[in-house]
Formats: sequence, structure tokens, C-alpha cells
Amino acid sequence: MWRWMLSVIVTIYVTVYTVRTLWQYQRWFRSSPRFTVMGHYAVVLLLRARVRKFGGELLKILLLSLILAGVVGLHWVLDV
Amino acid sequence: MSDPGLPQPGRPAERPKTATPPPTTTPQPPATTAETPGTTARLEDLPVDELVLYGRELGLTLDPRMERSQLLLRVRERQRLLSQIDREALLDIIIWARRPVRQSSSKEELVREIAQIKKVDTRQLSRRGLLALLRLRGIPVNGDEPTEVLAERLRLNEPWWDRLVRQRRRIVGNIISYFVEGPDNHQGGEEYKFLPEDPSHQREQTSLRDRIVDEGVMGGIARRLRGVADEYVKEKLDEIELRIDRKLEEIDRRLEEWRDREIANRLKIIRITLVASILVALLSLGYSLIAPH
Repeated sequence: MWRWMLSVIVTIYVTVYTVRTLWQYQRWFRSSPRFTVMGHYAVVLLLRARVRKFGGELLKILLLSLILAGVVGLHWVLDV
Repeated sequence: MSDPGLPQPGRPAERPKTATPPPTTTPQPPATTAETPGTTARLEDLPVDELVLYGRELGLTLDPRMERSQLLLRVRERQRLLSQIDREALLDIIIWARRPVRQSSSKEELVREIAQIKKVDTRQLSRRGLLALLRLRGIPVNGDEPTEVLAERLRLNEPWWDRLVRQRRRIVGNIISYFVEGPDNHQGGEEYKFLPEDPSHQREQTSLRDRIVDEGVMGGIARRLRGVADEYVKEKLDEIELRIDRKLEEIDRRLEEWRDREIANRLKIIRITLVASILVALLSLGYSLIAPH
């Protein structure tokens, strides 16, 4: 039960924190024309990032996520 | 996303003031038509890879493994087709697709640009332009079909992968323009403008004699000298512009390096967090197994 509670609380915290950060960034980029240009440049810079360059790291993350999902799944199986 | 002050993907530093077309790595086009004997000889002299490159720039789908004679035949056919197509029809296509060219560009330059067009929405395209586009893409046309049929034929000829990519880009474009330009900022419908003509080219066309005839001895010579001075200033300005471009490219490159480092760091943090989570989950699992006993 406490694990369930902890995961719910952490998920809500992370979601709220991420949304708030994104909102603050957006508000800052729209606060003046100069920052708006910077925002445009940041978007272009991010869009020019090549996913393939970080392929190895992303693959590791995917595998680790699968392992985590498997271990969490085992918890459920054993609880049953 | 088309803010002129921003570097475009793949083109970090644009030079809007100078209207020189981007340099190409193409071999010099053999000629505009294949009828002249000199042209034929030069086309035959080209090595296979350059022939393939040249053919592709004319919008042909060529395989380097094709036989040389076959390649030559295809390129000559394309040149013959070019000589049949009206230049105005090609300009219609250019205006419709809003490609940057000069009005005085040759047919081959226009076709080179047209070969890069993937657009299939022909609502703004004239009938002669549509017919020319179909012929350039190798789609059979008689010329008496209704415009709707021709447009449909062009749409059906689009490869499914291109269609998929186009749809994906449309969705991404909508989302990004919504966030960057705002929901009500739909700029469009601006009139197409050709690139300005090369002034040195125009100047060369007027000889000193013509100038003296038009403006008198002193006026003609003075104008000619002023032209030389202008040319010198232009050269210097171009040099300065190039230096600025190089600096901008350097800044852009450094920012890209910083971005890559940042992304790599974030991914590393995620990986470490996941490893820690897995370890805790395994501990918890072990505890669950041991605790009942």
C-alpha cells in the first residue's frame, strides 16, 4: 500500500513540476521580442538535434525501462 | 519558422542581401539542348557518375548501374523534352512552389529547382504549369484532359513514402507554428518575388560605347568608373559579409556542441536514475520473498 501511495505522490509531483517549468519557460520566451527570437532559435536548435547521435544512450534507457517494468511486474505477480 | 533572422536547419547562415544562387557541386551542364553536335560530344565525354548526377538534377531517376548508352539516351530524351516545354510554364511551376530563382534563369536551372519539388497540391498552379510538371515527372498526358483529372493523376503518382512524410511534416508544422507564431498568426498569400538579377551581369550588357552614346563622353566614362568603384565596394562588402557568416557559423556550431552535451548529460541522469530504481525494485522484491518466511 505504501509503495502505491509513494508512486502516486511522486508521479503527481513530477507532472506538476514539469508542467510548471514548461509554463515558466514559455512565459519567459514571450515576455519580450528579444526573448521571443531566442525562443525561436532554441526551438530550431532543438529540432536540428539528431536522435541517431544519442541512439546508444536511448537504447540503454529503453532496455533499463523494460527491466524495471519486468521487476515491477514480478512484484504484482508475487503479490497475487 | 521562416523568420529571416534565424538560421535554418541545414543552412546555418543565410545571406539575404546577396542574391547569388547557392553553389552546386554539379558538373557544368553540357548545354541546353541536345541537338547541337558540340553538345552531344560534351555529354558523351562526361564520366558515368557525373552523367547520373546531371540527369538527376534534371529530375530523372537514374541508377548508376545502368548502361552508359541507356543513361545518355535518358538524358538526351530529357533535354529534348526541355526544349519542347514552354519556359513560361516552368516559371509558373516555380512561382507555385515558391522556389528562389531569377527570372532570367535558364530552363535547366528552372528544372533543377523543379526536380526538388515534392508538392502535389496544384490548386494554385496554372494548367500549362500542371501539364509541364506532369511531363517532367514522366506521367503520360495527352493535353486534352480536364485539369482535375491531371491533378488527380499527379497526386496518385506520388510515392506512398513521400505522402507519409508530407502528412507527418504537415502535422509537425501545424504544431510548431501554433506554438511559435501563435494560433492566429497564419502568414501566407504573400506575392512571390523572383531573386534580384545580378547587377554585374546587367552592367556587362551595356558597353562603354552605348554608355557614351546615351550619356556623353564624360558621363559615360564617369558612369563606367563609378561602376568599377561600386564593384570594388561590393567585393569588400561581400568579404565582410563572409567573415560575419563564418563567425555566425562558429557560434552556431558551439551552441550545437553545448546542446549535444546537455542532452547527453540529461540522458545519463535518466540512465542512472533507472539503474537506481531497478536496484531498489530488486531489493524490494527480495524483501517481499523473504519477509513471509
